[in-house]
Amino acid sequence: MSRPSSPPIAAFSRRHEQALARIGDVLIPGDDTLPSYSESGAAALAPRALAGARPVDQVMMMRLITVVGALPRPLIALMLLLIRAGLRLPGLVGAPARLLDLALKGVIMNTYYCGLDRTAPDGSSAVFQALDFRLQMHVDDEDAR
Amino acid sequence: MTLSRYDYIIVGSGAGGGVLAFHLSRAGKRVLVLEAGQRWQAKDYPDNELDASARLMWSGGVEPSHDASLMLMRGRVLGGGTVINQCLLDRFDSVALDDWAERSSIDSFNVTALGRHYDAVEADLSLQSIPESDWNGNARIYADGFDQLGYRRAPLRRGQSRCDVSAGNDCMRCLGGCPRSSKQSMAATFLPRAEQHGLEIVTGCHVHGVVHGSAGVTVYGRVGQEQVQFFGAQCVLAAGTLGSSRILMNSGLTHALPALGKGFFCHPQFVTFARYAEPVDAHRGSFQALKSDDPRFRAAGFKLENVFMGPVAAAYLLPGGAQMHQRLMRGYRHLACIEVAVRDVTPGRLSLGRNGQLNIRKSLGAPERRRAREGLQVIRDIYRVTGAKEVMQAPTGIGLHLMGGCAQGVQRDTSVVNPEFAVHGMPRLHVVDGSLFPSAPGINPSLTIMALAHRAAEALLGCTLPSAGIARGQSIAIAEASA
Repeated sequence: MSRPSSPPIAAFSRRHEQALARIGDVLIPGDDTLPSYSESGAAALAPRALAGARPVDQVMMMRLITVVGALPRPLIALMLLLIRAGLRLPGLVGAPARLLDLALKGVIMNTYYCGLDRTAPDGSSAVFQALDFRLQMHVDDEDAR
Repeated sequence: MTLSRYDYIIVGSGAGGGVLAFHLSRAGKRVLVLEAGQRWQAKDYPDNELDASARLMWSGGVEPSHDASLMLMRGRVLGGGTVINQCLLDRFDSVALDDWAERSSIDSFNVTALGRHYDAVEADLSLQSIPESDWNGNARIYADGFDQLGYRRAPLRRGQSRCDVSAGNDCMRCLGGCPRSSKQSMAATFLPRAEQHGLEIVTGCHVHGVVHGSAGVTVYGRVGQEQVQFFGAQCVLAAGTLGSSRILMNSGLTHALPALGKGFFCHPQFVTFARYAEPVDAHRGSFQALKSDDPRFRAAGFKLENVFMGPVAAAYLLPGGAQMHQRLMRGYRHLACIEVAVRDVTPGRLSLGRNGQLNIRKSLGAPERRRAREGLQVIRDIYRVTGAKEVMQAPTGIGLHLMGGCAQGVQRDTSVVNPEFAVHGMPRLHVVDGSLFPSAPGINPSLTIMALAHRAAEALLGCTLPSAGIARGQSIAIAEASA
């Protein structure tokens, strides 16, 4: 049996993480209750979020994050604004905006709002605390057989 | 290399594959199910949206159509889409089935003939509706709006057994798999029952294609990095619309089957949120208790769904950025949500692209846009009369219930699968999943896929099959099947 090859996302580096955090801070700058994207440490979860994506999409995502994350913050903000403006354009005209939105906003929201940050003073999710969000589910052996 | 020979190899373990695996195994056949996803113990299903998307769904969550106007979602887990859906189990009505009969020239697509198969699968499932005492805030707003505006609503019939909402359980968690095994997914119902009758399951198996021969069908693919093949006297593709279509195309059958990949449909869904002054807590307790039941909506080609979603999905679908985004998300508990689900009529097309990836050409046609607009207007009216402070429509459409591509029918030029569920000209190769659908019904498809699987089991075994009556505690002797 051949040795399994590493998925492309295994190459997601500290530089990718920093670039994603820069983009994320434009979408989620933080306020008196919500931590900013970079403060939440959510960018570190990107490889986990992208683990199920197709390898070709993983490569494209890392390139996109590298390029957009290298832009000055006002340009990132402008780009995200243009993406939002293009979302409702019909057919193929709006496709680039929708794909970029899926790629960038998708991974940023997924990593930030999943509740896996442990940045609250009590070690729980500061994001979920700000939203006052929690789900409850009682599971015992009989239920989960 | 000697291959184990199975009576039946089933590719896919969702609503079609699960039910079929049970009936074939119960009839004493040697059955193998190949599933691309992994097997999970119920208590171990992911407890967060990030892992649920990455580990239970194809492509890590969503797959865009060619123009990204729709984000398509499908399960990649033992049990398929039944693990991640809401298990809403309605029968199709005459509107849907008469259309199928006309398109397919199959007379048995009618309410009466399919009724026996519905009866059989329903007897093996626990079906419940949510009493008014267990409605959450989202359901109360929905009901209030319907009542004020004079629209008909009805309880949803759900596949669930012991949600125990009064104990404080929040069923929205089950969108990432139900840890209580209450949801009647294939992983909690038909598959374990089939394993008791000897079903074998290989998970993590990505099937590339099939070779149809005079003595049987060879199925080839990989498990991890290892190339594998399996041999069955019969093979059933139950890999879902995208999966089954891809396997047939990848097997070089596109030219032999002119209708392959045509007639791809989904139910485009458009989410609208509203913010209320008081907390709605749409994420708490029972989830999606009600449905629209207004004949005017059915005639207009849409229905309204009383859904909600976790913070990740809500954040992605809410409009705006930065300050507006943070303001809306801080008010997450104050959000209500209704979506319009459109009965799709503009067919899309599936084809195989370079490097073997499936191209999904699916646009929103004028009829779908018109239906969505009509439904969205009703939603805005509901929010207005129920005192919403702010209404926000998601800019992105979602495509659920993927259907068609291997339509069932009599004519080879307009269908892929014959009335006995065999691929035209290939009597040992069958398809049993949502890809059979000749059109979009405008109704959640899971129960009908199960009913068709029951019908397919009878066609394969050559006998009628009584229900096992499991959900009703009956004890029915296993029918002797003559293949």
